[in-house]
Amino acid sequence: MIFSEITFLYIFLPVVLLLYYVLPKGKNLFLLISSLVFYAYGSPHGLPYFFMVLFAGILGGYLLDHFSLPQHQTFRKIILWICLLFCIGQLFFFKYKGGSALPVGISFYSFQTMGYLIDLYRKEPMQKRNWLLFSTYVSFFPQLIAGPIVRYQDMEQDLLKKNCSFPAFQQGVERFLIGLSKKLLIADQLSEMHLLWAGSSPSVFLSWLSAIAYTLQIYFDFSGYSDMAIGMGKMFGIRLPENFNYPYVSESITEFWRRWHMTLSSWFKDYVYIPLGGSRKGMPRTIRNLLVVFMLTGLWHGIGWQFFTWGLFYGILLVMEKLFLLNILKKIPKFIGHVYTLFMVVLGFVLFAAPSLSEGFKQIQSMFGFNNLPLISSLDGYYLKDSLLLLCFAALFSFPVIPWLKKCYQENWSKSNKALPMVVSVGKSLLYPVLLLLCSAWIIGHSAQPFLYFQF
Amino acid sequence: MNFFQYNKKTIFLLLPLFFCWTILSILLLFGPREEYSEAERRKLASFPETTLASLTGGTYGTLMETYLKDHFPFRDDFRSMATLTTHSLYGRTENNGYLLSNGHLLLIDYPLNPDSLERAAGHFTTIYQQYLSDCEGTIYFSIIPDKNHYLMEANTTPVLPYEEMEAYFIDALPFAEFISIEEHLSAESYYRTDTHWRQETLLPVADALLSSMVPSHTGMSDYECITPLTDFQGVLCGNAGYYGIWENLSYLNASPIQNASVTHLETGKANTVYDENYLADADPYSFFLSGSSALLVIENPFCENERNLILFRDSFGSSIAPLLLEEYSRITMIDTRYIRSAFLGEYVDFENSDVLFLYSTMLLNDSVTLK
Repeated sequence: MIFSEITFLYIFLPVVLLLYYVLPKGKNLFLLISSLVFYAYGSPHGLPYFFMVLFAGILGGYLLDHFSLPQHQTFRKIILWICLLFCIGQLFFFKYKGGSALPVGISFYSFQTMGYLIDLYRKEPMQKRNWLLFSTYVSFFPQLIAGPIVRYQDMEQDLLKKNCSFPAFQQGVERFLIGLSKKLLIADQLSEMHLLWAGSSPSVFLSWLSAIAYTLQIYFDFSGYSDMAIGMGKMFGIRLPENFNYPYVSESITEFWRRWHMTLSSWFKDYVYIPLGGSRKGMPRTIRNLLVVFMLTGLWHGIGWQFFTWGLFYGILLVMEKLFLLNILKKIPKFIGHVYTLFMVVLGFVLFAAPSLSEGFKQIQSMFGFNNLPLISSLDGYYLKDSLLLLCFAALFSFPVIPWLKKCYQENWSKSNKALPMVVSVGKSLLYPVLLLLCSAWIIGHSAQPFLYFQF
Repeated sequence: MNFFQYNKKTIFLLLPLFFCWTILSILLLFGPREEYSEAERRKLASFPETTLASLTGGTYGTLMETYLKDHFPFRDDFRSMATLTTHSLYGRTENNGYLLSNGHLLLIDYPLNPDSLERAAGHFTTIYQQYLSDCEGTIYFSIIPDKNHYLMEANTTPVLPYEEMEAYFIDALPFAEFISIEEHLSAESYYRTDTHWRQETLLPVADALLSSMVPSHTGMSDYECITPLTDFQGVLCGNAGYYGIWENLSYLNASPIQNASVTHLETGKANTVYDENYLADADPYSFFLSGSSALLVIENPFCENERNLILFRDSFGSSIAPLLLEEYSRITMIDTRYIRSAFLGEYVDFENSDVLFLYSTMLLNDSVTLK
């Protein structure tokens, strides 16, 4: 089931929400059952593998918890490694196999399970553990398929005592609708454009246009999904961490990775980078650790040379920034850093989006005038005219325009004009149904596009 | 803390949203169901059968989503809203492969498909070799440009290169004499909401065809233009989800047409050239010769000339064929999308007939349906 489907929007979500609030107790069990129905409905073939990972987490968690004395350390280590290898093995097997065989969301729930087991092994403080809490945590349907990747400790408090309040619910609904709009009104429209470069009249210009369109599409698609997940979390009284913080405002690749898919970066930082020594053991080890982390980040997306190269590309850029580039970027005008970052990000996403490494390099070559492509083709003007407003709209909203407007409103306008808060409230109450109706219209009127990160 | 205790005022913020959401959910679950979409001219999805195979195979969810989308309350209004907002929000002219240009709805048919042209040429050559090579009578070929050709700029917009197609078929069909009708058509020759051409504008085209095929042809007769439908909406309206254009559907009438009889060869059913039963149908263009038919014969018993024409055609042929009755006493119309060309010999006598292959660029660029 996809969040931007009629089935989910008008049947599954309203019914689950209604029952969730009507139920006097047993909310976690209800969430677990709902999540399993959600998963089984959309990806029935993936259910056995999901159960296997869940079982590994429950059993491994029980054993690590039960054998907690110092004399059990070796046994604990063996248990941890067996569970981790099981999760990694399954993940590797399906990623290598690829295609439709890949159980939906396997990368996300496997990583959450592994993080939980590592935290137990490390004896990180946790209030309460049992199979129900753990299962609800891993399977919580708003974030089951494509994150955000949550640490058990961050969700535990809300699972034990739901933070259900009307303001939180309202914020959740607002966030959900914003995410839905990002996906349907922006990302899906951009999806047609990134295929243009391989169309009937390719050119250097179209290669760039499609690369830029994809860069914007993947941001609105994935951050839209994360917004919807966070919003639904709030509706159920469970806070989920932020996953994006306007990555395209970054002035370096280092900053970009602090703003892009933040929960995956945190996971790798907590469970790979720091255990490898982080940046505390000298520059050569830091460089090695960075390269390892980013190669793994690439491979997490898929066992393919394009993903590996995409990860390595960022690893090398980050090493360069660590060594000297960041110092240079600090001294030159900020917009140069911004242009450099966006340039590298666009190139990176060309590799990322390509079906193979050779196809990725082919498009990059096209972007720089190789492959005997003309600078512009006869249809470029038509495509540009048809998509210019959409591109500008997407580019504008990939910057923190809304937070900036909110800040201005709170600091200046709302104080100077007493009637303004009321106008804004009424405007919002009208905007929500308009967004819902518009999104529904676009679901019905346009062909469905799955979320890009569902394939990972 | 009580859920609703926090700030009662803010509750009203979400009321309009909840109202819309709840009403749509209830209507979706319990609202009336249609079986057929008049706007899209297609059968709507039926409730998916719940089987173990569909549930475990993952197809059930897809089928259910299709069903729910097909039966969503106010579906046509939502489809229209999607089209209009795509145009207005982003200024996009193209939406789902459809385009709104100068008051016309256009179906984007691009790029040129060389394999399809080759397939069509092969199909016509096979027909020639099987039935026509030993017959007397001249073979003609003509291509009907799509309306995009007149409404979109050549080379700078995604429009089929008509000249290229023309050159290809002149080269690929050496047994046929090519008749160009491009100059006799304009944007106004086509319906604004349909892909087809308007019969009332086709006299110059019929004149050009007859002038080439019948040396003694001296010009077209006087025809009366009758408009039986003033709120015609073509197939593109429903497909594009744009319902804001209504137009006239008119036809030409004169004695050759009035006197003509139509016989559908597969069924033996007799009919008139213009079938008024179809005016209230989902596809009023079927008014011309009762819509699609594999094989039919139009006979004009009062025609002075004993001339036969075999017309290989697509749906565009339905509206122009009646105008060719001026010079032909018998026109046999063959649509090989609905009958295998191998079986034609059982129904059609090709002797002493002129033959015209008349096809639109749309069909030639997607010739997979030719059998």
